[in-house]
Amino acid sequence: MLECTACRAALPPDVLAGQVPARCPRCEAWLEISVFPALFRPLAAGEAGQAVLSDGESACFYHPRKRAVVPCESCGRFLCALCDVNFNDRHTCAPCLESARGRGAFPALETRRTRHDQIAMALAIYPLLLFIYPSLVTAPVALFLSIRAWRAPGSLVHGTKVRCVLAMLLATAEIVAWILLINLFITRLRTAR
Amino acid sequence: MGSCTLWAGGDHLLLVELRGFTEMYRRFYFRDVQAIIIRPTERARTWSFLLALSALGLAALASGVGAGWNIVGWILAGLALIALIVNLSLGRSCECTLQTPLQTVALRSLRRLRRARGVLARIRPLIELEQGPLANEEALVRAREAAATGSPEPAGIPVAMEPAGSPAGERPPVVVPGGPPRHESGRVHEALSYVLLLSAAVTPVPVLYFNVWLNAALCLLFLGRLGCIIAALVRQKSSDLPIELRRFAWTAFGWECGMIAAGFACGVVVVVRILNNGALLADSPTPFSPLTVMNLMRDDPGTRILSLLSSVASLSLGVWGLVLHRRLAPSRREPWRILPI
Repeated sequence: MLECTACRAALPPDVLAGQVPARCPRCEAWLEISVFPALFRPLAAGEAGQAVLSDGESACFYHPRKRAVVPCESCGRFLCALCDVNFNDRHTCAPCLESARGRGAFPALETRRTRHDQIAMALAIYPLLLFIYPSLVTAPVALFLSIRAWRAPGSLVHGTKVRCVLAMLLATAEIVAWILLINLFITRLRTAR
Repeated sequence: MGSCTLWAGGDHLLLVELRGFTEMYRRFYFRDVQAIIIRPTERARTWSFLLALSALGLAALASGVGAGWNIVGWILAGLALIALIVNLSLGRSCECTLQTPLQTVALRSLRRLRRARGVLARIRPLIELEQGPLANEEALVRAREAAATGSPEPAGIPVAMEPAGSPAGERPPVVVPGGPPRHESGRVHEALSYVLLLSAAVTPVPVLYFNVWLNAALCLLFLGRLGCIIAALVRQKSSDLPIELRRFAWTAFGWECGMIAAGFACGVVVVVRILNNGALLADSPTPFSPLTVMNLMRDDPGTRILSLLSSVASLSLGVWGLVLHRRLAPSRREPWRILPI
């Protein structure tokens, strides 16, 4: 049930009766509790799968004694009720779901993404703030990463390519500046001779 | 390092945590949200206090130093003041927690009460659209029913997933996270009260009389006080100590931090004044040594006021702690038990 977020003690049902905010009886912390019907709903039961009764019946690939109820829509293997994973209205087996998740086929299963555009931006900006010299190396790397980040999947929530464009512009400017500086240095060296 | 943002989708909330250059996603489907709990905290007030103290300290520093350097002091004091105003305008702080059947997650993006309430008002209709509305009275009745019959459990676990050795229908014992609170007698809090009273008696002494040994003893007392505060904070964590005694320990901690900051600021001001006066120059009659600086600091009116203030605050805190301990602790001591012979 509910527990106090301050002391982790189980809250009695009467905290829902009083005024909002309620008070934890143990640590006396004030709590504004909003409960929803899911709190009182039992978790859906999993299905165990039925046993194969006759030789003609198709059996589950992973549990040969269980009756198959559906084929996997990815690999075609027969699955019992236990192995059938219904996700996004597709019936798949757990290994196929895992490999699809690894490939990024289901965005709803993604739990992390690397922000290449931010890496490119950091490589383009931080050397300028700290020391100038590392930008001789980091500017080409930033340009490469920003070009790569253009096609790589970006953030799930920030769909903009602004960082990529800014990183490209900054890195290009730094590279041009270095070329000009080296050119100036060589010219001065030649004239000095 | 990282930020945390909360996004509302068609059928779920998406919590995005940025750690370094990687975004971590957690989804909470509206149909699974069981409860959202908002707990007001004192974090914003503590920050306000610290920022106000910093602004005052920096302003004092700026007024104490000579022309030129005072600009830096005033700029820093202004920045602290701006941060204080922003902190005050954001309102009270809070911790917001979302509970689903499988996890309880702190929504770190909702750290201000006003904002958390606003977000809750926005997502409540979305959750109710999936789950249906639940009146307070109905929730109370159902909570009481659930408490009487036991919390709702999964309707069944597939036989194939049960451990091989366990007989059907038998479940492993449920381990409640956290467990029962640890018993705490509050002796450390009592010791802290006595140390504070001792500090109250000893702190003003250097204003009247000062030597190296007394200074060393005061340093030891300071370390002891700090140790007592840390021990009290550690002991009261996950214990059944009353909230009043907990507040006492936290107040002592806040006071100690404040006094350290004020003492530091005061020391810097005094040293800058001494340097401006030329008291520690090579041709000065008083040769440079830490003891000389301490002697000069002792004569400073700001240090004297701070010592007296510290003494009065220590006395008040010590008396408060002892009164609380006398009122709350005796009933909490474990009774003597007859040892079995």
